[in-house]
Amino acid sequence: MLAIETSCDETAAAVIGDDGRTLLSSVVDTQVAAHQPYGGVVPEIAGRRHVVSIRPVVERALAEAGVTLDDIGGIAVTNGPGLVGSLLVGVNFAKALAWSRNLPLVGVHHIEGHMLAPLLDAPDEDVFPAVALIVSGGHTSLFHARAFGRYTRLGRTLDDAAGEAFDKVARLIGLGYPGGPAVQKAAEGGDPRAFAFPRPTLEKGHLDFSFSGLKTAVLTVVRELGAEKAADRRADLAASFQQAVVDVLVGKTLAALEQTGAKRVILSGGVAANGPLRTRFRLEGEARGFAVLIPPMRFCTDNAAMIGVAGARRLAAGLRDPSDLDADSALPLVEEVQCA
Amino acid sequence: MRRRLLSESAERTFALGRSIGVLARPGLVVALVGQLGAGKTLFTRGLHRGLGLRDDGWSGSPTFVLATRYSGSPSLLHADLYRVSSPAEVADLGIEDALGERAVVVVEWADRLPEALPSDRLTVRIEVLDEHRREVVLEAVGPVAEAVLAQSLPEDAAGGAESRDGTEPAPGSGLVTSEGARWR
Repeated sequence: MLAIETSCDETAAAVIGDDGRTLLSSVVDTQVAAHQPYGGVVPEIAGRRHVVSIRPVVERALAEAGVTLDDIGGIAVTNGPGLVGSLLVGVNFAKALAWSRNLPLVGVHHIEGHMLAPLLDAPDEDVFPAVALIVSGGHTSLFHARAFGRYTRLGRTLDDAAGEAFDKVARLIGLGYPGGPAVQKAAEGGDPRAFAFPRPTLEKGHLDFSFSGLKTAVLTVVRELGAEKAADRRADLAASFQQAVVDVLVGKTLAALEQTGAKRVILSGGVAANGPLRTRFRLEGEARGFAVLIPPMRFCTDNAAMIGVAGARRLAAGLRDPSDLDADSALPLVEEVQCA
Repeated sequence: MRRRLLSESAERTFALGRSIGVLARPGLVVALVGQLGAGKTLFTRGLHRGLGLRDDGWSGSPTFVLATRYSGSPSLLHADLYRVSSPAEVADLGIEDALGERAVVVVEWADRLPEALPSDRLTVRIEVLDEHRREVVLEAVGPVAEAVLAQSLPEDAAGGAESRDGTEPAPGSGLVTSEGARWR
């Protein structure tokens, strides 16, 4: 199966073997450098870059897998959610390829791809049921993933996604883009207890997230310190902010484990690349006796391998999408997938 | 037409948004201006609630997807210019389509490309005074926006902090929201 992902700022293609989980190749062409000067993904630039790189990326994925299009039995593509101008490039490319080669086409929900990424190196029975925390620049959601195609959303962010909070706080404290790695690096020499930032919504009984209050708290401290002192204390600001985000993400996930009785956590999405978050989950898992499934770094950030795994599952379940498959920036996740 | 209010907490910023949502009429454009962390998304969440839309359908900041559409009567388009760089991109956000369908439109970071927005609009500037307090200036230009701002904010919501060009609202003139918004 050939899989294509272009929902945001990475052009990605992957080839998955006949068993639906053996990865034959995974190519990701990142645009981070192109967006760096703007402090965030610029949609217009993203769309144009996808157009340029989609074909070479797909060709490289086929070449690295040692296959040609003749060996491909189906095409999977992310059709939402994401930036519509970016999604369209992948969806149209996949549609044209499927039509011209007479291959089955399956649209994949980006978040389902993140949730299924652990299946790349573990059998289903070692992955599900689990609580899945999907954290990235565009998403922060908790799911009860009972099996492939059986998901219940437990909570989501009411304002900023966690990755967006990292980007915006990085900007507030004078760090570069992308904010996640910049904050983590700056925090290395800092004291995570230097500033008592709030842990928004942690004490409340629901599983929704909110990061805008935390962002506002950082803003307030920066204003009170003044530009010069804030720059001097950048490491402490970054460490204290990062600690607050980690506390909230971990705290809500622990509550979700309690609520569902699940014994596993899937942590995926771009923010799952954050070192302190990964470490904290591993420690909590050891202390409390739950398994922590974190895909390797390159499968946490956007990639097509996870789309291939999800697409292969859909194909095996007899699901097909019509040749007029649409890109939908706000595509809802189907919580109960019906097999054909 | 201009009104200035003081919000003393995040809850009140939410309540002000809700009041505007209750008073809104189809075709209203709300242009939000304020720095990171000022409360623009919170205001919009209140407005979304005030329009009678369900909170469990609320999908948060549109910074990543640029625009989120909520179906209702009226519908709501929540757009964000934080990462938009040209008027052509603003045209792609679907604002004109939404207005054609009589939706209410809220645009965050409106000061980035004000010339690309419809001229009939209610501009809401949220100024950070300290951690909790915000000065909110509402300025209506054009018939739709003026008609909305000409209505009294719900009396509870108006509170003592309002200075409506120096005049106090007449007693009992305020609308009361279905949820009894408090704005003090």
